[in-house]
Amino acid sequence: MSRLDSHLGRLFRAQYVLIWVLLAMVLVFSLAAPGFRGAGNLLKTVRASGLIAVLVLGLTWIVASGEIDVSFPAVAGFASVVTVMCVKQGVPWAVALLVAVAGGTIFGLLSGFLIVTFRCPSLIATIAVGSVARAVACMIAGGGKPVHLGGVPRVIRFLGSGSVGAELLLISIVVAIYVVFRYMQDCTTTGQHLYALGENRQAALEAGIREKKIVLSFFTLSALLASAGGVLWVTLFHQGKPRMEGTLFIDGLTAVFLGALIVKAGKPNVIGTLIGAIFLSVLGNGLTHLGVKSYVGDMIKGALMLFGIVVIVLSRYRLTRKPGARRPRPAAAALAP
Amino acid sequence: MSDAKPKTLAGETVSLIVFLVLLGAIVATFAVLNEGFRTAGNVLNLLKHMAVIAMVGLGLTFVVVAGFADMSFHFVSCLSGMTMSYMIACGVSPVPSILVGCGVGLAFGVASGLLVGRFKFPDMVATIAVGTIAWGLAYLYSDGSYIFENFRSSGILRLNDSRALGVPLPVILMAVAYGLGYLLLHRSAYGRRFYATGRNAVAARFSGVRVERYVTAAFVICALLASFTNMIQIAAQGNGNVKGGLSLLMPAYATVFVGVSVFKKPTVVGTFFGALLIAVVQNGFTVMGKPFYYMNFVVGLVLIVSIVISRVDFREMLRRRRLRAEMARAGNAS
Repeated sequence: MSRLDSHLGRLFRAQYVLIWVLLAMVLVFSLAAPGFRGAGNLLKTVRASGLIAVLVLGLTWIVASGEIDVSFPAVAGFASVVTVMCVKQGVPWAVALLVAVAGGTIFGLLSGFLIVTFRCPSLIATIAVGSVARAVACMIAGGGKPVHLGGVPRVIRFLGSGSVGAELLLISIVVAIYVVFRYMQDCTTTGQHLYALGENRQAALEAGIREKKIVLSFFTLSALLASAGGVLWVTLFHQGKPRMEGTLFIDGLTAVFLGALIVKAGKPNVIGTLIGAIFLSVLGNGLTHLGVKSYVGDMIKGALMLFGIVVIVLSRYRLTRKPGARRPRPAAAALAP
Repeated sequence: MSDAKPKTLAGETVSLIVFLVLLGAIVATFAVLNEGFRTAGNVLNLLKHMAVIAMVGLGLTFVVVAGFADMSFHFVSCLSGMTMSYMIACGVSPVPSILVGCGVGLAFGVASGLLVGRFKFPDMVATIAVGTIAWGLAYLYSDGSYIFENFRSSGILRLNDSRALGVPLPVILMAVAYGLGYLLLHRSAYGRRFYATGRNAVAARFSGVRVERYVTAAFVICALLASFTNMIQIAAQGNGNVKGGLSLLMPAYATVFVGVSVFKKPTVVGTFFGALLIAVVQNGFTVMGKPFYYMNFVVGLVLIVSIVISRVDFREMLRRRRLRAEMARAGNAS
């Protein structure tokens, strides 16, 4: 009996609270809004979370290793514009897709290079690279306005059609990516090195972890996944948007930081980010069905992020009982010259 | 140890001279390429534009000196700007509107300052969360649409348009803010304590610095200056826009880190030069009729180049090369 108790207790520990909140939210929305509980809408909600989930997957590891990347919306915007312009010029869509992802990855290489070679704070490097990426996207698009696909290729039309087959295909692609990353994070040494870097940069260096190589590859990976998210954006909305800031930025970071509450308490991780993305998508969709204005959603997201930090900080307090014994702030470490 | 001080001074002077030569070259290029650039009216425009960037950068300098990053000030400035616009639209006169708007900014600055300084939350996450809440609140006044009622009749436009002795008011305000900022950060014990907090918070605490207060103060100064700057922007545009303050983020970081690349640490003077450089470049491109995204491109490039320059230690490089040459010579001799 006591064993059962402890199992039950484990389910209600701090790192699983958010999953219960998510389930409660789905329940409440289903009861309150008939439009929400339709199978088609639920499928749409999960698919919409896939976009954010792919976009910030690389960011998850960057934050876990104690750095920060704020260029992901700009890189995604760049990739979306490049895809649209290439398809407009008559390039086959598969080639356009590759060109966009390759182009976006260059920005990740650039910020990684600045951080590794010049020991630049990652916040500053990614602000600079992000602004360049956004400006280049505007130049290609010929202005700050979104560019639309003229004739939509058949494959893209199928993926964006919202039919059950297309939704399932998109979801399974996202799930496949996540399975691979989950394996790399928890079953390989790269995953261990990543958390070692986040935990104590100096100790990790002394232990012989090749920090530069890892950081450079993470930033490249993050840009690659952000570009993939941008391409996904084109397939869903049939347009390229050079200036993706504001909401996408907030959603992406919220997904990662909320995800840090789940599974590994206080550390961003792959599964957590996926659940965080689903959480945000359910929240947004449910509020829309209840007829609530979108900015209320923004405020709720901010409050949730604060709630998440409070939970993490309080659980650390309880674990260590000494305020001075907490690990160094990752973000502050990222900014220190 | 005794000769350490003159050496660092010399290093700063060298990089300052390099920077000024670069700036001069840029100004000369624009002046040659474009006649509109060298008119007196354009110089005033340039200074007005610079005042906006420079004041946000000044606020951020304090946060960076205290060793943190603020990702909330641009969101908060949107909220306080919209608060002011809403009050103007309701018929309140400008000065109380500005004060209430600044009060809102102050409240959010205190919030992020306390979260980061007192409760030791991770700075990036906490400030983004606070900023998101502020941004959501900014939509409350008008559902996100422009506010422009009463703007002409109330006299709020004078915040941007009025002049004293031919100098625009924003430029005077910038000069006052920089004077006060310089005295506070470089000529007072408070400034030393800000730097001590940023260098080593634990050591500062044991030396009797109330670290929490300095961190909170830094965030408050940053939020206040950003809020006020956005109000000047609103007065210049003639309407309150929810997204108006978002464009402050990048130039603010750019000014501070151009300054870091010159002086090797965040300083008031460095931020001033950074703002000057960015204002010159942006103004030059505007006069040449380039669209806004060219300016973003150039600011990004300036930031990247200043990162590269700030991390390259020329003297160290020369010393190493000499050493290597000597070693090679010694190897050949033996």
